[in-house]
Amino acid sequence: MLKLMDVLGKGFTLIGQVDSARTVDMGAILNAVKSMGNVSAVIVSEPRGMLGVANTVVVSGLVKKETGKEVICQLTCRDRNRAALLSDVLAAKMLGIDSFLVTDGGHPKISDTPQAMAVFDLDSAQLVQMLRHLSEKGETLAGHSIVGKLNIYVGTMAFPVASPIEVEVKRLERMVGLGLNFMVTYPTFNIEALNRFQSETKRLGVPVIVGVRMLQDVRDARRLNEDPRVTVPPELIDSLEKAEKLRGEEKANARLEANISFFEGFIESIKGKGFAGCSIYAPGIEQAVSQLASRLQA
Amino acid sequence: MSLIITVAKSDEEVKRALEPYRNIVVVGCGTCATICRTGGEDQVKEMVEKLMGWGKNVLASMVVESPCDVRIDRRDLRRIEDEVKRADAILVMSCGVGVQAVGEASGKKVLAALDTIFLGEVEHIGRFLERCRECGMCVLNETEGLCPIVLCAKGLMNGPCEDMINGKCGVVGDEADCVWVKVWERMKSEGREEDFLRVNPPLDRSVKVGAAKVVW
Repeated sequence: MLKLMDVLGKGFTLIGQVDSARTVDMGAILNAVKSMGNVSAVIVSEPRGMLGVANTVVVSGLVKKETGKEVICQLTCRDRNRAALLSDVLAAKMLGIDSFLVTDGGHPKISDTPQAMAVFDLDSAQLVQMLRHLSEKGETLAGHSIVGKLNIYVGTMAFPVASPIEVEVKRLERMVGLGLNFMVTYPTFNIEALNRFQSETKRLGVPVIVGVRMLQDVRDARRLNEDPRVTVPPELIDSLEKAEKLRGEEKANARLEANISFFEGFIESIKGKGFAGCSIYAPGIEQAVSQLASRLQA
Repeated sequence: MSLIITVAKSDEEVKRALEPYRNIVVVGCGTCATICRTGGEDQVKEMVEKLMGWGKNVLASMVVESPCDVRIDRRDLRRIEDEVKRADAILVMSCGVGVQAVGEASGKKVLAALDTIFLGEVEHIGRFLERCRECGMCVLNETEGLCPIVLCAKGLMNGPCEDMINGKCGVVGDEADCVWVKVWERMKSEGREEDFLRVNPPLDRSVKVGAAKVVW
């Protein structure tokens, strides 16, 4: 089987995303991944604004072991110093995980555990640097050698709707200079911003995976709209609102259909525009990922 | 002039700390806490009245010129030597340095009436801004004279981050500019955009471990 990183940028790849959770039961996470169907890889992420979920490294390892899927593990600088991050990366490698999505991480202050210490011993650029150093030199940043070989792929989140966008593009350029392998965009519904982002970052030569966020229901859409950077298209809100008038299975199906038909159009319109693929995050409605994938293939 | 900025602890907290003690001496600060209006003559006077209202026996009160200087504490406290001797505790209305220095100079139990919050720039009296966290490894030469350790909520050395919203800090709120956008703007205005690509290395956290000391 070809590894995701080898095919990335050669065609349009669909990957899934699943959050770790505050749980000791892998069942729900595995079911979510299994119901995504035939995606090329799965990003195991931390839910935004929630501190203290099951370690993404362990969850990634279990997802890989139980589903055989390739996994990209999110690592944040928020609650681990450089030593703890290194421990996690080494442990991840033992579990067969070698792709990481590196982010700074949201500040605890705006999370559900605001009293926690914000670590940020390294930032995301320095973490990329650390991972590249490990991968290429087999050494830590402090120059200590590692037993065994690591072949690490590193990606980061990109923010196409950031304003001012030029600072964001420059930040990404800085990361690319450190040896970034891929970028995943923060979910947006703004195709214009995505295209603009694509044209401004094409010269960096790094595959960009577009983040797509499906919506559970109309409340989910409104919550998302509270972020000033997000505008859920009114037509999607309308069809989710229509679903609210139905009951039981009909309602659930109508919600799924609202997502699938919207994102089918969305993805079709960004295909062939130079993006490497889409990462679909559909919390609680992961079956929509597999349905969307088969619709796109048809 | 940079000031050590303090705010008053709640009455409740001060009262709780004083609970076991009856005979109290109150010491204010003639420097930073006077400018902050947290430990000057007026606040010391108010505190004395409050303590009496709580049934405490206030033996003496005074504003020490700079309670952070042990020599000045020794000199000034000599004027109320007997009262200090008889006191169960000294309530100090200064920064944490002052509280500990008064303790050292007097050999008495000291209690803090204030919370020390930062080392501040004074825009005007009543508007103090945190600008330095005394980290011991000044990075201002790399960051256009703006300190990311203080001004970035995450203390990132290579920002901005995912919480930047329209040039503002999404963690602190709309009143705070994203320092990394400011750094970018300064570089850009001088045509040094490429400087933004420079990666600032991880900070050396071993620089400051335990209580720092400078001895000549």
